Amino acid sequence: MGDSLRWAFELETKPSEATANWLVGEIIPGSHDAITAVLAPTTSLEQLVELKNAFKSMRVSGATVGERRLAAQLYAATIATAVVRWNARISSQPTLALFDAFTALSQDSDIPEALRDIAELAVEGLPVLPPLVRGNEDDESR
Amino acid sequence: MPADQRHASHTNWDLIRDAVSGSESASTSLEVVVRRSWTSIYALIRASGRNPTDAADLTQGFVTDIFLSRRLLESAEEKRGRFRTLLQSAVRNYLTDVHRGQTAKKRGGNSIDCDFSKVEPLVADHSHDPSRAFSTRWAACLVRAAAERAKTLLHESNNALAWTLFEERFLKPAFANEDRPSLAALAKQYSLRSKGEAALHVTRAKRKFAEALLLEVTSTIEDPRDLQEEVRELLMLLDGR
Repeated sequence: MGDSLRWAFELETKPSEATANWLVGEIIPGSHDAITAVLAPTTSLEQLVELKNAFKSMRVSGATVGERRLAAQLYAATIATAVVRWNARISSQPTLALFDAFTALSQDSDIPEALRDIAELAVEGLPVLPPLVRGNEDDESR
Repeated sequence: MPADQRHASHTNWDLIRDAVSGSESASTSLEVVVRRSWTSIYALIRASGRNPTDAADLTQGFVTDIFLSRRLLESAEEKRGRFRTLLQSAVRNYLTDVHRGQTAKKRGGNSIDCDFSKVEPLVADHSHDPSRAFSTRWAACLVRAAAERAKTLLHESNNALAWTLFEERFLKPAFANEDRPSLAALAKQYSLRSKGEAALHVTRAKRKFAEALLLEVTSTIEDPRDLQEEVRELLMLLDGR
């Protein structure tokens, strides 16, 4: 029972990241770190779509400013990862909006370097991106 | 609504302060603290070598003579610190007094209904170590109190579905040591649009439960710097180590 409760105390040690980590752990069993999971080459396109939709909700419903900010960053990062790793568009946002979002992410000095790197690569990949994958519509602009 | 449910959002120390304050809700607060604690008391007494019948009688005796007379709570309010340490010490002292024949045999008036038959199977395995038996039940009661608190708060904020999914996906399998249902199965069962939506509900409840558990643990210690140590002990107790 203790092992299955250990996660709960992450809220004390990593208050802003805990919820995102739990969310990712639900969608990708065995994952304990949201950023690592979003960037992992083993994360499938289907899982990225699930993560993107979940972070999209969490950037509004997160309990704290820190949670909402991280969710917004991870939302953009999942879209960027789909561009870079799968050459896929999983958002219906206009290319210009995606360009702005990825650029902002790539220049955010408060986030881990790996997230900035994926955003930078996604900026480069945007011009040759194929059309939206059906079922991944995303009507809200950031 | 039972007193335990009405007070699910209160920590032990909230209740103790209210119980000794003489307020209108003092008696109810006292009863809730007793209800949260008596299984740990029974576990300690059973593990100290008493048979189930004697342990049940002594537990009722402690509850009536020490708890409901407010002697323990007044002492607790003065000393603060870890409530479980104080309670454990008080039970041990009580058993010594009983052994010396220094407690009244007849008790009247205040008492609470305790279903010892439900608790006996839970404490029988720990009959070799009174301190361990007490602390293991204590840890389990903290988890239960946190669960009740989280459930109440989620229901009050119209997030009952989040609690239901958390219970199905996490609590029931953890307590029963069973496999967890998949998110896809839960999404289908509760007519959700996607696994991600189910994950969001579960995560929302996880957060509320984690908050409640941290609050429960924090509320039983005096110095916030003791939190990490208390958490480490709690997890070890729940692991049976």
